[in-house]
Amino acid sequence: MDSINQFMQALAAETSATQRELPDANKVWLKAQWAAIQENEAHLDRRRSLLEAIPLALSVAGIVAIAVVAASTLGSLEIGATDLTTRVLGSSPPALIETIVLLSIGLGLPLMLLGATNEV
Amino acid sequence: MDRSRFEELYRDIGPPLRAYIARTVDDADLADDLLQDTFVRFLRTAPDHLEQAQVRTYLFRTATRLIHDTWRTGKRRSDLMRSNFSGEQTASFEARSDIGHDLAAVFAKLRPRDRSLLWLAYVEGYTHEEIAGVTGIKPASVRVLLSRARERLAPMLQRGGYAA
Repeated sequence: MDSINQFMQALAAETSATQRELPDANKVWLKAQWAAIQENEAHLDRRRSLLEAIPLALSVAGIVAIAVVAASTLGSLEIGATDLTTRVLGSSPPALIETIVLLSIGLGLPLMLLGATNEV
Repeated sequence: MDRSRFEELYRDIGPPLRAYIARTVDDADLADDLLQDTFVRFLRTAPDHLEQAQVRTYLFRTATRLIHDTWRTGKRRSDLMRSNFSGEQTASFEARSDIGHDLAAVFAKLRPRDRSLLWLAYVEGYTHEEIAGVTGIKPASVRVLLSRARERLAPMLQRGGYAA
């Protein structure tokens, strides 16, 4: 096994003697900086995409809320909010229905407007 | 990490690291690319305040991973990729002016993993545990694989007239 050691040392010496110049350190440094910039941009893009999705989600939530309010108020659904609550709870507490309707209007409309105007 | 510290590290560790990569992948241009990628990754991800020895191990480990990644993804069509770690020498070594001839040609006949293990053990002087840390192979397996690499190299040296 000593011959292997000698061979490896000779190979190392030969490699060292014949090795060409290293790539420029400046180039490597700038490459790293560039990679950092690209990484930050990718991160910002992800955040931007997320923020852009919020108005759409809010719009959908607003539309759903308005639809529920309209349906329950106008009785256009076969099973309205009042009936549904009654079936689930076994009774029809007027205060609960009132709260749901008020919340739907109070949250739904602003959310829809917020989403539609893309102001987030 | 500040720039002067990086340049110092690059100057100190760059040459031995490049030699290790070049001998393992058997391709000087690919070695340059991988060396740069190794340092770029080091600058991007290495924890601060590593000791010099830790930095060295970190860089060798990163380079080894990049070598494996390159082979696995097959992005580059080098000898390494074409041989698919089969141990066959597939290109004329003499064509590469920056790498030695006879000794390198013999070494290039080994499998890349054997080359990596032998280089780390004999040139870098790493222990089995350190090699395990660099290559991700278990220390017990390093012992066995290194022994097999020696067994494969020994007859080549005899045939090449490098051993009695």
